[in-house]
Amino acid sequence: MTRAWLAGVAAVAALVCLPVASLLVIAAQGSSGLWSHLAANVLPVALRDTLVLLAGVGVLVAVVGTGTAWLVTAHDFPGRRVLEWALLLPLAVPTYISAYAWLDILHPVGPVQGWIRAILGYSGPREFRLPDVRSMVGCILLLGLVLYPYVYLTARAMFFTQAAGLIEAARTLGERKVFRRVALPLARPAVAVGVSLALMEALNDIGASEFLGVRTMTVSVYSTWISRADLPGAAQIALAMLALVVGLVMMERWARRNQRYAAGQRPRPIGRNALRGWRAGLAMLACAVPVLLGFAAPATYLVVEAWKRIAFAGISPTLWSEALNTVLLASAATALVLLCGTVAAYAGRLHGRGGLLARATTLGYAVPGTVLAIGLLPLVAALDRGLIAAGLPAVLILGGSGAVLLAYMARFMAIATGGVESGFARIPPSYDHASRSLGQGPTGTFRRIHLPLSRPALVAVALLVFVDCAKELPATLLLRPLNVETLATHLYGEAARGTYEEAAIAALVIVAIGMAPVILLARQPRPRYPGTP
Amino acid sequence: MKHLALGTALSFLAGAAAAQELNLYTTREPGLVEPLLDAFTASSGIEVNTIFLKEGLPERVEAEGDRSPADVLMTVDIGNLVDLVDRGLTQPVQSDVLEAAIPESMRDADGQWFALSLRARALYVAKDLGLTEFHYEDLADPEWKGRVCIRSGQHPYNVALTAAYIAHHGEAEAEAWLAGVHDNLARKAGGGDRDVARDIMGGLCDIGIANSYYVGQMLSGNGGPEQLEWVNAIRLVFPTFENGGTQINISGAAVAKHAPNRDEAVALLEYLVSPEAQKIYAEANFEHPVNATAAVSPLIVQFGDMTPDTITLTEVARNRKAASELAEKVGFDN
Amino acid sequence: MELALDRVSRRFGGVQALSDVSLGVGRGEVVCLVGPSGCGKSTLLRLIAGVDRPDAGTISLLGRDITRVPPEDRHVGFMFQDYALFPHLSARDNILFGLRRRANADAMAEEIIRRLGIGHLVGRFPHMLSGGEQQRVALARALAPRPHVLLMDEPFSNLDRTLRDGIREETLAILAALEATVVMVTHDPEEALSSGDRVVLMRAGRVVQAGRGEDVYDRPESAYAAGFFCDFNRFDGVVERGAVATPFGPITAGFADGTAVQVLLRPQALHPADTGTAATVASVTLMGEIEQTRLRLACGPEVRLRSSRRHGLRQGEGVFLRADPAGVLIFPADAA
Repeated sequence: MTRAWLAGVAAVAALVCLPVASLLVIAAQGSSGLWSHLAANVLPVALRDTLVLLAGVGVLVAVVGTGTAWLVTAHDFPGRRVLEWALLLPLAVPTYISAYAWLDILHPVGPVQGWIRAILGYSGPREFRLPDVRSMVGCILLLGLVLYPYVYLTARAMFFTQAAGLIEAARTLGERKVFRRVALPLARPAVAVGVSLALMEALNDIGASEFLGVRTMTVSVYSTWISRADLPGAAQIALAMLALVVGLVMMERWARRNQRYAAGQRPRPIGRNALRGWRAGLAMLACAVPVLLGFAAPATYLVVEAWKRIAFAGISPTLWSEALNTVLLASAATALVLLCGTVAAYAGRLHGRGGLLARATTLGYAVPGTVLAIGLLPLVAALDRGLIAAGLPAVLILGGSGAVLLAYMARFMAIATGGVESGFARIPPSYDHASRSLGQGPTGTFRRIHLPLSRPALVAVALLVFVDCAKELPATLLLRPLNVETLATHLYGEAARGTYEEAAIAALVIVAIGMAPVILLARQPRPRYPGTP
Repeated sequence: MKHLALGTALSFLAGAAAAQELNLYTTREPGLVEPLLDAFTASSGIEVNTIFLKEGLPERVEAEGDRSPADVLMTVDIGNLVDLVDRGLTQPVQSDVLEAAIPESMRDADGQWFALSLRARALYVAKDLGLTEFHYEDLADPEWKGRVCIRSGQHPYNVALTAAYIAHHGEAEAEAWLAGVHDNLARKAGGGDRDVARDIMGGLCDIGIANSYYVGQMLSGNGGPEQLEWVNAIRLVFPTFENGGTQINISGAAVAKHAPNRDEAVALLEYLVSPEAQKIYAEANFEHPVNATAAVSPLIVQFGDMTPDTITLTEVARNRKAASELAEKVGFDN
Repeated sequence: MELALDRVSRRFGGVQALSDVSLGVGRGEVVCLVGPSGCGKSTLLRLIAGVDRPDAGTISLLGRDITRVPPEDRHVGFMFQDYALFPHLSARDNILFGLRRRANADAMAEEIIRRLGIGHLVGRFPHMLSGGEQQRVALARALAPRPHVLLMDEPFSNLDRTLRDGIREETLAILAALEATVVMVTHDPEEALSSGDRVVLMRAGRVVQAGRGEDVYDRPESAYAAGFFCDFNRFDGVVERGAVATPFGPITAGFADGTAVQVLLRPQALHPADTGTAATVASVTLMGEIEQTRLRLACGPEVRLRSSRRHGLRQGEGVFLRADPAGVLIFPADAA
């Protein structure tokens, strides 16, 4: 039975790695003179910008995510209950939508700057204007404010399940800086996981960085491919980036190879420290600002713009079918990704070799969506042609949406594998052994022990994947079949044409679809069994 | 998943059976092409299935190979059209209707691609400046320091402009020019073409490069009252090269090599250059018609006549790679 | 033999956790694996259960080679140190867990619930049970499928000291009544001596000595085995003319002259006397049933004396000590 699970994870890993392998083939076609041009004109700036962006976003998401997680788990202050779940809301806003909203809100001739000038008595933007949002700082702030929930989620879970006993111990030892001395070191692995997810998202983000004029390596992939019709060159840059990311992830794992944080005996909530007066106000503010900037402001902007548009031109009749397509595709992909992620995580638990394969399934997260889709393209097309030749209906790309699902899977397996693994990590190995020695095989043990005990983790993973799939644009755009539009492709169609105002309604619906699972995720009841480690 | 996969699979199979259908792969946004396709369906009875793609249209058709459902490939920018031909994704079309309607310079000699509409890379000028004539070369003039707005140097529209500049003046001068334009920028290169009008209205810059048809779209009021405000702050000028005309680009289409519905595909192309369709291009999209018998929208014509540049489109396409590399070399977007 | 291990070895990275361990367990026998942490006793248990596999050697149960058999097909019961009760199942469902494919599952569960007297617990969930109650349920769960062998990993270490002895006795009585074959792991020497029919002392992945409790306690085969079960007074010396000199006089040693030896003297073998070796009382500690006295000998070294008698000695008091030769063991010095 163990062998069946290993075969399963091997199949999933192969599926995820195929597009990367296909990129290798494309890259091997060679691209003359690419690297000398890159080295002379592109790499110095692109590398610097990429590193500055990653460092900035990394620090921002770590500080905001961990800080707010600590505030809401270890303290009590007015509004905490609402903020605790509201802090997740920025997850619902795709970075490209946030970038577009902020650009407009803070436009030199937009509402905010006009208002500031009116107060200060300036007449026009030449006399006074705020620094351009289209800058590295703007990009870091924007991505950080949308991506910090990845860290918030993991850090908060860590504080909930691990911290109480240790923190109380520290307090009894007279330690006042409990956060810095105990909670932070404790949360380090969780923060590392969250930060690496956020950084990979940031690195792959073409929409926001391009919008904001930050020339990352990802933008170079695009200009090489699109402006110079040099796909092998683009594949080479993408693969070099992938190698970089894999290297970084491995370094991070190596750096904490000796850290073992066994699941604490019996998790219970930390005794909340009730804050009063200005401290309470400050805590509330610290948690409210990320929500306001990362979610409330762009969402309000979208509501206003969508309202204007509906009043002006009504709702496009295709919007509902696009919303339906979005939900159907995201649901199907979520089921698939969750299934494969669970297989990978459980195979990893059963066998060391499974663990290696489980790592391999997360590779796709480090590849930009379009690049991944380009890698997938020849494979799914060849498969479909085979299907047609065999007299079967083509369901991948020539006639169905299978390719989109595969792309979502390749892209988001990292979330599923990692999330399910961390859910399983809370189940002591003695449960597996007890079940096995009581006559249940690996599969029975999975069904009767791991499935019920890790349900909260599975639900969380499913919700995250669903939101990500509903937001996904580049692979959907390239791989969907004829006549299928989703909200994201509709939005992009309008944005590419420059008719942003038309896009506001679709953007609002995407955010709304993303919000529902996020709220569910935050409202999820605590584990049902207090004894669950 | 089943629902979607089977549903679309069935629609495709049904499409292959019923001859009155064709499949369009387009990088032109649905909002732009829908009015044209609706009119085509109304006049011919042929249903059009579309997929809107952006990056990767040629890669997708290539991968689908001889099973590709694509009949018509529609895109903007001469470089993209030439790329389709170079990859062997198109087939020659012999059609008297097309040849009569489209000037020779606006179609491939072998009938591999056809232009459907033209757009000028134009100048938006603050109204109070009273400027009516302009050379592209002037963009690098220090007179305009801190007064120019433009989108990314890697955008196909700007790459084509630089490519045309290379054709006129050679690569070295083009590099100096591009660096000069960069020095004159009022803000980072980026945003869209309409942002140029908005930024001029806001007083951020005085002049900017953008496509001609956006002026018509904004003036039409379809974008809402705000955009009317923006466009009313500017005037459209058709700049020229010192020794040439206004840089134009095209939107065009080709019949896919393995088109399962070839006759319908040709019918669509022929329809798109008919006076009826060209009128839609002009009146709904505010592009310049490729068919000389159709009139330019009055919203555009009011700004004066446009004299297309002498450099051929294929020459522009050839310089595209060099132009893109120049933009990176001078750090245009930094 | 019910269970037989033949030259079993297991290696984890650079650590040889078990090397060439052979062991036989008879039907109805209770065998205690004992040793310091890291000696390989738990690894051995995991190999028998099948949750880990040996690198070399064979394990057979009822004459059948089960070395490669997955745990679910071994009919081996396993009781974990943390009990590993499934938190999402009631005590009854935990007990029924191993009986899924049995036709008379309910009857079997009722039988074991009655035997262990835990009828009042079965409706509860694990987090509603005290430590002792959890131990009972875990035992019931492991025994319910009537395994050929029951493996117990530190089964009493999670219990309060006050409860431990009572629960241990009860548990052993139940196991005896069921005629269960048991392999139990403990790090507690006293528990090992009192619980098992046979004690297997392990060290660094090897069996040091195996035998009945009184054998390993009274006749340890090495200084290590001796020291593990008893907190000896130790003197170093060299054999001269067939004997080694100690503060309590020369003691005959069966080693060649010139051999460096260590002389081990049980604290219980020392007693105050009218004459003998002079010493001063350093401290007296009452440890419940026994009393421990630390004394500094006039010739320098310190010794401990344990006795169930109250000697009534006071700190600083001078006494004479005598040693009972039956409480003396001699091993070569290098045999650490």
